[in-house]
Amino acid sequence: MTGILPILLENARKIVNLLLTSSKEYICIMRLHKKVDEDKLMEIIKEFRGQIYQIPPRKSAIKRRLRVRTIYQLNVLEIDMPFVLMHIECEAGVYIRKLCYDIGEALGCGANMYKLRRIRSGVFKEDETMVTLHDVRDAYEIYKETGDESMLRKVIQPMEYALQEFHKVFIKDSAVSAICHGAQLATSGIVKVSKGIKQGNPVIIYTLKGEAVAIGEALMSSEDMIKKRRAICVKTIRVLMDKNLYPKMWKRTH
Amino acid sequence: MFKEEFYFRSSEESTDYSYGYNPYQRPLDMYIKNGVINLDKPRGPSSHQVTSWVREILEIKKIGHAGTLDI
Repeated sequence: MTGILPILLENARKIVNLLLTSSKEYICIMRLHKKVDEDKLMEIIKEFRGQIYQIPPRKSAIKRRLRVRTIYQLNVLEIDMPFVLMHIECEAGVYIRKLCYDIGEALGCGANMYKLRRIRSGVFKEDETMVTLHDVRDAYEIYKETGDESMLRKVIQPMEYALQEFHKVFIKDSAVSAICHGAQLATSGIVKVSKGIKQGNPVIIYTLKGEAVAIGEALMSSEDMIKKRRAICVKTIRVLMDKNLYPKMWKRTH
Repeated sequence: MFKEEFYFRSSEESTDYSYGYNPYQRPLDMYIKNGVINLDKPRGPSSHQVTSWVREILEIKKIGHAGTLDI
């Protein structure tokens, strides 16, 4: 299996749980155990679009019980019996190996995953940010030999890059330190918020410089965050920023 | 895809550049320690193995990956 594997360095590991919920895209070659009629194959494949039930494979780390997952797209790109080239876009937590097995069972002939390449994981896709192990090594070697940081800064993206797809709440400088110390966010600290936030959504709290401060959970909609005069609007779930970066500006109460 | 629209609560608020950094302008050590890599995993080694190689290459202590490609 090849393809997109987002790597999280040091402090950026704190966003892993959030990234694990991102949708994924794959190119897959499925091998059928017998040649089947192409029309029948297409009919069966249709049934695997939308909501499907999957039991996680034995090798997986999670509990093996039936789960509902969504396949947003499942397209056959090419058939060269017994091989079927497919493009799949799905919710997090879909096992493609299992999907191929289940398609084989439904067809009655059996099937297995022959090859797999992940072409997208959340915002990470096959674009100019994608690098190989060699690129990483070259960039670091050049930095060590010449002090030139530019290659290394191209190979590595700030963690904020990975958080783009989530709703944003921008806060005042004066509110940053308190959030870094674990406080919840009050509406008075807000500068601007993404449209479309609903209560319970994950949100990223940002400084006005675009630095991620914390992962939070919205306690109200975007509209209420703007309208309400005094209320706690985001619960801080995970602090991402070093608490000493911004000065303490909250009022002391004696 | 991620062009977003915002509601404003306060439009005149500004930020003080005597502390904090634009994420792309962090000092290198801090840039790396708050960094992510969009890695094209090669065929063969496990996701865990590949991740561990990146850790060795960059001479850092802690590393993780988001979603194995092994199962």
